[in-house]
Order: sequence, then structure tokens, then C-alpha cells
Amino acid sequence: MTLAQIKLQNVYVNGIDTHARAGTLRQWLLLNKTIKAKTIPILRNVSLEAKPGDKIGIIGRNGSGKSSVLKVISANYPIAKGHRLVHGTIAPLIEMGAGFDHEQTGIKNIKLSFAYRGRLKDYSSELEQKIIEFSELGEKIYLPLKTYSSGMISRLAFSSAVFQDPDIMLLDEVLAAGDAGFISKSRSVLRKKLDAASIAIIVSHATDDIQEICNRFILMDQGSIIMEGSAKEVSSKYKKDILKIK
Amino acid sequence: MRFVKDFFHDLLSKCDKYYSLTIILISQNTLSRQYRDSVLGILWTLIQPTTQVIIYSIIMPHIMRFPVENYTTFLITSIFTWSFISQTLVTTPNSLINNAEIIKRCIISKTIFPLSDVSRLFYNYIISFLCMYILLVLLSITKFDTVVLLLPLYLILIFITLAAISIALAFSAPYLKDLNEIMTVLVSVSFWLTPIVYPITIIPEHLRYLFEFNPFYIMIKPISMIVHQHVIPNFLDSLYLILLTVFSSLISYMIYRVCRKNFVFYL
Repeated sequence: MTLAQIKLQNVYVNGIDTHARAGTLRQWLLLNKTIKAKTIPILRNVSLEAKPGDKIGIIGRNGSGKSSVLKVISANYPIAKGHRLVHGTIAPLIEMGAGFDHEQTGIKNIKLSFAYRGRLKDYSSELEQKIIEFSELGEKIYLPLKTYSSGMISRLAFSSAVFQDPDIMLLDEVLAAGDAGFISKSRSVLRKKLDAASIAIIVSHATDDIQEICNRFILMDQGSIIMEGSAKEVSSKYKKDILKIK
Repeated sequence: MRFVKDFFHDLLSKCDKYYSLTIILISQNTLSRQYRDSVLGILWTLIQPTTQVIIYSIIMPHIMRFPVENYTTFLITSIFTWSFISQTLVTTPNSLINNAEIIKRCIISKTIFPLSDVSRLFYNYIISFLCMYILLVLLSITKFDTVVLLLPLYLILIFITLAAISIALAFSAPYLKDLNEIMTVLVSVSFWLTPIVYPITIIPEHLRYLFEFNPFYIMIKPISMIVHQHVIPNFLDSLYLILLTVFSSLISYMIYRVCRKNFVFYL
């Protein structure tokens, strides 16, 4: 077994501003827009290394590029410049509920969500039973998703995503929804999974939420890593320099 | 050389049990959703081409005088095959666009989406065509001939060709949003430019070569020869189809290689 490892070296990611590009013939001929798409920098010169045992918290405002870092690690985003090296199985919990089909029953959606995550291999009826039990949906699991409340959908999404044991876990502000009982139950199971994972990266708006879980803290703004330090240092710089809270 | 090596490398990496299982699961899901709550359900896949067959079999012999023995069988073969081809060309440009959310967030092979669309359409085609064929034999409109056992061979080639094209279409559509409309126009023009409702024999001989190289006709002809004329497609026709499969796979792979890197930002 190879050890889990993440190594991003001077990574640049450029998105495409499809609005700036001529989408129609009229825009191209009459409004003088170019056909060539304009790029917008999403990540600039990001370098990040993680070895087994690292639980990294990435803090930043909306649009600071923290989720994009996760997408680069999970290879959803192509990199324009730089190097990306990732060893180990990845579970990006950024996709909770992605691909849920509201016309289908809960139980079918569990299987579908496994398919969309490329994890059909791990799917078994025991696991399915575990997920149903955890989600506390009972008989409602046989009803189409469109009859569910939003809380029930997020319970199902969380339950079908959390039962995996990857080397690398990527979390994007997933803190489960539902009633107080379910929240505390899911927090504890998530915590266990995070501890069991070799490497975990969690993205958040504030250090307070992740202070207990993480042992490394990174501050990001405008697509770059501003600093790495202790929770306290990162938090104070974030509040002072970025949020401008005195 | 590198290109061919990469092609086989990418192809082999997809030869995985779970890759095909995922395709099947997603196709099944779309199928069951498509006809859920509709009274006739999956029968609709049969009704649509059948009405076309009925209309053309009534109208065409009146406006054009051409001698085709057993015109109904001829029509059924070519129209059912054509509708599989045309639906693939019109549907698959949207395969990735429709699943943008999943593609942006999940770790999944992106080729699964166009492939599950083609597989679904292929399944519909096979089932409806088979039902029609059995009906034709039962009604003694056509006779059963062992030559139909060769059909799977040609159907697989057609499937591979369209699967390859669908990948190219799905990966280029995010860059060129008009592709869907372009394909719709192409399909409606090609319908009349391909001997589907009329036999190739009505084309003047000196122009016939133009039709012989029509890729749609290359796909339809062997099927028509087997089912309608009860003959084994000759060597040249089979070769054309094989070459079409090989070329469309390579060209599609080229397009896929160019488009796959940044398409996610265009979704």
C-alpha cells in the first residue's frame, strides 16, 4: 500500500469567462467580441503538501479559491500550470447529493449516488442497510425523493456519502442538516471518519468550526495562499486583514 | 504512434466491470424515468418509428414510382435503424451539459454520460426492432432467414461507431453550444439524402457513388441487406462499415483529447 500524499506545486487554475466570449454570431460580428474565451484566474501559484496525519483546514471568504483547491486535488479542475501529485483514494464530500434524481425512490438514489461517485465497487446490500438505518428514513426510503422534505434529502445525502473509508477526505463545509439529534450523530460519525482518514482537508469560513479537528490551518484569498499557521494566527489575520473586523 | 498508444491505453482503462455497470445503471435510470407515469410506457419507442413507417408506406408508393419488393420490411429496417442513428446524434451533444453539476463535483469518468445515452438508445432500438421483426415474420410479411444471425456483428459495429461519435459530440458541445441545433438540421437534411424511404436504385447510376460513401448509408445498408433482402452483405460493404468504425473512433478520440481538458469550465 502506498502512503497517502498530496503535493501541489505552483498550481495555477484558469477558469473561462464564457460571457466575455462571443457566444453568438451576432456578438462576434457586430459587437466585436472575440471567439477566444477570456480566462479568469481561479488559483494563482498554490503550493500545498500534505502527508499522512495532516488534517488541514482552509479558511477564506467566498470565492477565495478554497473549494477550487479541493477540486484540483480531486482532479475535477484541470490545472493550467504547475504540478499535481495525489496518492491514495479520495472521497470528496463536496458532492453530497449530486445527481440525486427526484423522481426515483430514496433507495435507488443511494445506488445512483454510488455510481456517480465511481464507487459502485463498494456498494453492497449491507452497506445500503447501514445507510438507511443511519438516515432514519425508515419506510420512506421506498418513496420518490420528490415527496421528501429538504431536511430528509440532506439526511439521505449525508448518509450515503459518509460511509466510506478513503485515504484522503475532502470536506466542503459539510455540516449535516436535520434535527439536533441527527446533527450530533452525524458530527460524531464524521469526526470518526476524519480521524480514520490519512489526510483530511476541510474548507470553512471560520476557524472556530474546525479548530478541534484540524492540526494545520491555511488562509486563502483571491486564489492564493496567504499564510499557514496556528488556528489563532490564521484566525486573527483573517479577521484583521481580510474581513477587516477590528 | 503515440496517439495510437494513448488511444489503446485509454480504451483499456475503461475495460472495467464497474465502468460498464455504471453505464448500465445510469441508462436504466433514465429509461425508467423517461416513461414513468406514461400510460404506454416503453411502447412509445415502438410507436414513434412505426407511425413513420405507416405514413411513408402509404404515401411514398404514390408519389414516387419505384419497384421495391416488400416495401414495408424495407422501410421498417431503414427507419428503425435511422431513428437510432438520428436520436444519438441529436441527444448526445447534451450528455455532458445536462450532467454539469455531477461532473463538476464527482470523481467519475466523464465518458460514462454519452455512453449511457447511446446504450439506452441502442437498447430501445434493439428491442423495438426485434418486436417489429417478430411481428413481420408472424404476419408472413417477411420470412425468417438464418442470415439474420449475422445481424449482431453489424449492429455492434454501428454501436461502436455511434458511441465514438457521441463522445466527440458530448465533449465538443460545451465549447460550441449550437452543436445541438446543427445536428438537428444535419439529421433532417440527411434523412432525404440517404436512401431510407427510397431505394438506391432510383438514383442515376453515375451519381450513385455519392450515396455509397454516405456514412449513414454505410451503416443502414448491411442491416437492410440482411433483413430485407436476406443476403449476406458483400465484402466491400462490410469493409466500408469497418473502416467507418475505425475512422470515427480515431477522429472522435482526437476531438476528445483536445476538448477534455478544459470543457468543465464551459459547462
